[in-house]
Amino acid sequence: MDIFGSKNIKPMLIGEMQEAFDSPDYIYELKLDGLRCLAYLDKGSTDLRNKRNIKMQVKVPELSEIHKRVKCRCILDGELIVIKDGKPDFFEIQRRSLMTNTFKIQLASSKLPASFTAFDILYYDDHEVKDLPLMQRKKLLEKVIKENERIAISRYIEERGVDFYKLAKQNQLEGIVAKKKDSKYYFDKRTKDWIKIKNLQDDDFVVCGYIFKDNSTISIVLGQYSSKQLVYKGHVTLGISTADFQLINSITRISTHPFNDLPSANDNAVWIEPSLVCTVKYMMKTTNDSLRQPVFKGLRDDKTPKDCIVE
Amino acid sequence: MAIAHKTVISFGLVAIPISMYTATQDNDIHFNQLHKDDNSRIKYKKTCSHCGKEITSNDLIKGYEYDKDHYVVVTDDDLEKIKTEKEKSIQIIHFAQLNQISPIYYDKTYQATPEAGGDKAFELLRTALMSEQKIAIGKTVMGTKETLLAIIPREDGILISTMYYENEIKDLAKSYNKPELTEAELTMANALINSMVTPFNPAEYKDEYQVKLRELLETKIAGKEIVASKSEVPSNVINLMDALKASIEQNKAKETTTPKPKRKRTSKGA
Repeated sequence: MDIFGSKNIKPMLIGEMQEAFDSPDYIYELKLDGLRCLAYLDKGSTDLRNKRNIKMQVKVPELSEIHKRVKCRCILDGELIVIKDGKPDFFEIQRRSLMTNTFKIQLASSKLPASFTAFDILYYDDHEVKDLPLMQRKKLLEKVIKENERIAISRYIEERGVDFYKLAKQNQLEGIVAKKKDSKYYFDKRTKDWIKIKNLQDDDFVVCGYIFKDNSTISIVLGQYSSKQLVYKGHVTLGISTADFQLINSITRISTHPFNDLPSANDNAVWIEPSLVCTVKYMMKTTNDSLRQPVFKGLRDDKTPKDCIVE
Repeated sequence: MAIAHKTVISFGLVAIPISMYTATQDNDIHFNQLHKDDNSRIKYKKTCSHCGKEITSNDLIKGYEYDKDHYVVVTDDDLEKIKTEKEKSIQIIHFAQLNQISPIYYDKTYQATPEAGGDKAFELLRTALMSEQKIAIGKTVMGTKETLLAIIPREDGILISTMYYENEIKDLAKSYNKPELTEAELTMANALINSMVTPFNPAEYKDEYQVKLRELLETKIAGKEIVASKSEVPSNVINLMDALKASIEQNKAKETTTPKPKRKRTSKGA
């Protein structure tokens, strides 16, 4: 069985973060704030998988026909997004990915429909194309997809990374990605050929517990793994009326905290099984490695706790 | 979100790492309670029946009512001491015929898929159970409770169903008579049954009330939205990306007309 049949490939990941730069060897595209997905499209079916190979189709029924917009069987790499107020809205697509009730999904899909923006192609007709240089894959992508409201091809510009980043920032977009023109695609690899250029930083943490505060909020106690041990990484605030809190609240509680070392400000914390992952945005890390101005961005289920590693 | 419960099926000397996902979901429509004057959500406040004070989760302890208004207090430490040793695995105890087990014993069903390194053993177990038409009976610890499980093979994957213990099953509430039946009555009833046999097709059935309820809500929501906002133009990521790309190209065009020549190649792209 080839990769289209087995459907178990993992996408290539961005391995570098830098300041904006200009280079004729790179193309630049927008980093759309959504959920990374692979789309397996053939004659009769659309099959969207997230980074953990979980089927996403049930969450986005409005995308069940996008296979009709491609000329032949293919595997596309791209971002599943919801556009709100003219911009990709991570919160909306994340909210959708957490929905299970089919009626809620149906309502959301008619109000704020999702779309898939493809930026790479890994399989064309009957063979893998990951060894073609990026620019040739881009050409192929344009040949294969007929765009509509539900499926788009990621636009890119050449050479002018600095201006493009400025523009993205002006428009309050997440950032841009620089990709080396002659780079190949490697499954399940963190590549230095793809470089993200971002305004705010973000990182993923294990939800280890939470502390009730006044005015209906909690502080989530964050952790990350260093080898097999969870390391305390500070707090981020979340409202208790949110769906994310409901989910956190439903996790089995444990009686002791999972850390070796724990600052005393955590005496009243409720500890839970370290099974959830959340993304936190922040300005920068302070010298003692804690987060400055952390903001809770959302839970994500396309990453396992074990993959939240201390950098 | 599909939260996987990771565990291991241990079967003789083989350990098969698996993920368990809940197999069913609630698609019913649920209502919230609102205050009729201003349509706001109702909040629950916990108060103490003795002193009337409002209670937060920090003020709560557990008690068991052994007699009317008499409680013994149980602490987390007490419970911790008697916890069953956390078994990380599902131990297969024996195998049985599927049709030998009454449906009354089945509680909640999960779908199991193999985790890294378990594919081969998982498929072997599934295929063998299938060809023998058997299921496995096993035990594990979920939360703090020791749970009985049935491992049931399917064409695609394996089902794991939690089971009730025998002492959790109620007896028939009252006895009833079983009158004698005649051969002719039975033949007639059998014939009737056989004339109505068709394969069970679950897709044919749905909750008609829920369908009507959904339609009702959709109509109401659609009505609200016309009132709320109709100004927003449906926006598209293509427009956004094209606009940004165009504005970069415009800038570049300006620059090339300025006397400061720079080495720049024309960009094409999508």
